[in-house]
Amino acid sequence: MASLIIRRLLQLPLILFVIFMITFLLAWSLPGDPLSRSEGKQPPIEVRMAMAKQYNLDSQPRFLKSYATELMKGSLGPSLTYRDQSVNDIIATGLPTSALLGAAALFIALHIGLAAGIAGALWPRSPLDFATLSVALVGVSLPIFVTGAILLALFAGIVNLFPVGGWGEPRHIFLPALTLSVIPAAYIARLIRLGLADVMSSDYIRTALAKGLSRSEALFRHALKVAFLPVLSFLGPAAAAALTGSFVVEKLFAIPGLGDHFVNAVLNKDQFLILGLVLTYATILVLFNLVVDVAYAYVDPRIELT
Amino acid sequence: MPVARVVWTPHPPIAKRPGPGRVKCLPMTRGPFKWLMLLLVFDVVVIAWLVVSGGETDDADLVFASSSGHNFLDPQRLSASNDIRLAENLFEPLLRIKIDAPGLPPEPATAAALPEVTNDAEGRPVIYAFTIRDDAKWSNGEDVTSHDFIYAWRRALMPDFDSEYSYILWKIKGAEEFYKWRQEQLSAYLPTGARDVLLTTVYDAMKNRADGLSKVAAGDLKLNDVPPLDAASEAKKIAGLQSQLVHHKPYDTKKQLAPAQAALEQLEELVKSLTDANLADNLERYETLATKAAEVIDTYDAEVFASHRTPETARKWLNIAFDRFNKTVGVQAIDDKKLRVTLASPTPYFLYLAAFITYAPVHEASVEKFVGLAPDATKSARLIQDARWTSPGTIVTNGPYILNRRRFKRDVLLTQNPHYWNKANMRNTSILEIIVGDPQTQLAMYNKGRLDWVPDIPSSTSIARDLAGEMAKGKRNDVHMPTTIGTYYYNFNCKDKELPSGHPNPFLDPRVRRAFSMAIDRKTIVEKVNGVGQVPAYSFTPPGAGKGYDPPVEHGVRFDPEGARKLLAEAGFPDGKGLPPIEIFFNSAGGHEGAAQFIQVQWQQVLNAEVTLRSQEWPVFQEERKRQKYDVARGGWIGDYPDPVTFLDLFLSGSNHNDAGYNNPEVDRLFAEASKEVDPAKRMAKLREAEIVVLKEQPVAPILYYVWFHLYDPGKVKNMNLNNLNSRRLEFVEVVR
Repeated sequence: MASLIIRRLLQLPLILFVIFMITFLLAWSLPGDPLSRSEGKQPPIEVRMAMAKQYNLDSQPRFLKSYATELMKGSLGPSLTYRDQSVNDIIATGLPTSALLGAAALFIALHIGLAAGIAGALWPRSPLDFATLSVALVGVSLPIFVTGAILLALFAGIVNLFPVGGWGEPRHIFLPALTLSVIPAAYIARLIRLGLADVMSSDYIRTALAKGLSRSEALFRHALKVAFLPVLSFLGPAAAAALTGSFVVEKLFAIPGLGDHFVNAVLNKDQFLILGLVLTYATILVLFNLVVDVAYAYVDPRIELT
Repeated sequence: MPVARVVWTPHPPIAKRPGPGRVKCLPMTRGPFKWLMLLLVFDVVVIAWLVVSGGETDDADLVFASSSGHNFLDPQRLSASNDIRLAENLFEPLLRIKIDAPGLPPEPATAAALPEVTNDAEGRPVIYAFTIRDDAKWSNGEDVTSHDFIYAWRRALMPDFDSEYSYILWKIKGAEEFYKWRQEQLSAYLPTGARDVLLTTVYDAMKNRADGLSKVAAGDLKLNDVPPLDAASEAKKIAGLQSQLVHHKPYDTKKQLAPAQAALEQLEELVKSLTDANLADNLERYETLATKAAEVIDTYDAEVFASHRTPETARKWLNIAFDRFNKTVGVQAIDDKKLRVTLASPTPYFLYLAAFITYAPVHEASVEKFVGLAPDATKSARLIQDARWTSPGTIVTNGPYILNRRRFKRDVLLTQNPHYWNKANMRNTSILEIIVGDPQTQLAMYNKGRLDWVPDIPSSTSIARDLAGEMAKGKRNDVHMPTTIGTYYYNFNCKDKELPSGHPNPFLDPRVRRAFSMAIDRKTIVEKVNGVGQVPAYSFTPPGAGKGYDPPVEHGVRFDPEGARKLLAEAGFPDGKGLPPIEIFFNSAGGHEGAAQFIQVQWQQVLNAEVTLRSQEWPVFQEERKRQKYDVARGGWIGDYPDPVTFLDLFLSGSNHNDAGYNNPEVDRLFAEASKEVDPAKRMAKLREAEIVVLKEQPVAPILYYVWFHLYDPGKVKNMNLNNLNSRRLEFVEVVR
């Protein structure tokens, strides 16, 4: 186990390097000039040349060299869009917000998904099972901006329970977290429901039932662990995605997270921000997958990690 | 996906359960059901707690939304419109615009009075004497002095600080020259670019063109596909190297650089003389000379590198720059309160420039703590600045407010500056700006009463259209759509002989451009397609864009289908026969489809032209439009200051915003004459003449004048005084709750 973790961590820089180079090439091949303004008067060419030189945008090798030196010092460089912020500042302010929102969303998703999935499996073909499966189907099918707009109109408009947008107080987190949780919750519910149905009809559960366990005891004690495995592998990437923010939800609910930057950095050709975000996201993704693999071994001892 | 190996053991271990077994077949087991119910109760409690926990407090007198977060609060570096809107409350220039008076005149702000204007030796009114009011104070209680202004303006003119609005100070004598000089000085500090420029950049441009031409001769390529060679701009790059070398003169004791200098001069001449005919023959000669020059510079560089690039040298170069600024740029402190500004040429709208945020002062002592030479003085002599000087608690301001709180992408809270000279007349003491990206969310927050003022809903969105519709029906009274000094127009490609599609360009003929412009029904676009109170445009310069300027709308092109067909026939395309397919090009996210589709149909119906649409993301759109990779492209222009110059300089052949690629020596001449003209009335007459030429030739078809779109309840928010410059004085706004 320990050797696996160490090996994976040693692989991390290599993976990051490959991802970095691909992103670098893609970011440089984006059309447009990051130093041009979006509307109206453009600064004269002399001004833009001076700026390009300052940020090493006029030469790729020079950019790479200076980026590498800065990275060694732990700096991800300046942002070309928010020029009085460094990429480190942006990530340091956005990531905790997005992570908190993402964690809340995952909590809700697990909570709803597990409850609905287990209920469905306990009482198969009951109206409850039918209801949860149909809600799950709708949840997976609806695009997130529709879900968000509906929730916003319902609970912040018609029934005035929650604020429209903003961040800072506990009540701000509920609607966006709920919006974000709908798709994973529906996904988890289906995984659990189908997984449990599968496991519950397997031989060893039949043995357990024959030995006298109640259906619910057999489910909680034996079946759930196995049925949870697909959820676990779904959770790794889902957690990485949830923690780094969502463009749509953050925009809709005016949340100062990181999600918005993933899209806007590309639109603005903000090379530093693109690279910084991709490196951060890749690191988180690799680490979460590692955590998931380790968790696998604990949940199902039959799985050996090598 | 996890990489794990599954090892199956034959029998999974089964937990042993004591006691006798009993199989339950109940459909609803009571145990888990109880748990589910408990969970549900827990959820309800948590949600209820969230609902009742902490209400939203109106922690400011005026609350408004901004669509995007702030890039800068630094008056010399900012450029985004929402940054300007915020920073205007923190920093006060010498003058500001009086928005509650007709004609929007500049009024004294930090200055005690409007400046005294005197003539220079040549009799031109270019010397402005400002006196700073005695009670002008910084938020730390210190006096605002003329040195603060000079310090701030010097920052804007140092390329070190990448100020995008630097050019707005270039009307000051010597300012533009200083900016470019300092830039050369910075590049000269480490002239490693020489080899690249000489052997790669310029050489490749020549070689590509030469190769392309030989392929054209062989019939493999069309002339249109060969990248053009701009000999003048390539020669400029070489000239740039020459002037870099000049900065090294004091160190070049052995006169090593003289041969390189000579080679560069020859190269410059050579490149200037390049034409398609002699290009191939001159390639070799260029290469020889360029290699020689690059080698000399390289050797010199290696030799002197170690000896003279230390922090002391960087400091010395910086002092040379400051010295040069003091000697050559037309700003002088006569004493602590008196400032004299000399302009490069008569600029009647200079008072408006002096009211622009880039001209605001900064507090030298508090900024200077965050300024220093670049850490690696062996490589760069650049000054760098830590933007943290604008953080709350550190920033010192001279405007009506101080920065109380700033949370990135969340909100900004401004509170009254206790030392502001005009504190007695302020109508509120705090402003809260909330950052809300989505216009729909802004509207929802406004409807809930969280926002007093919504200034950022784009007038091209459907939200704006719906709100304007409700306003027109009398259902609401809180939509405000003041006209702007901004024009929406279509560019015709006036430059290339061939359109990007390879067909001959019909728009080179002004009659065709006029005919296409005559086929556009502007009134219907404004009323039916857009529907947000815009005004049809019959001139390029909108009304109100300059005192004493009367836009020549009588020369504008009006909707006239018959006339359009007649003119098109005259130009050789009777009933649209012989016209190539025309493509309308616009940027995708911006609500431009409606107008484009309408114009497409009109050109098809009126002119019998084949018209298609193409849209691109903004960065691509802008690049292609700049290089005339289009037939007809959408354009928009909002004036920086109320003077026709800010509009008409788009049509100068050298303008870097001349997207139509229009080139008319007569317009250039009239414009040059106007800029020399001292008498304001005569100057306006010259500019009007230039605009008449432009309207007759229609390099662009003006379509409408923009409007701003604001949402606020006039019964609640008083004294907003919206105006066509979109100039605000938030300190005078009063909100009644």
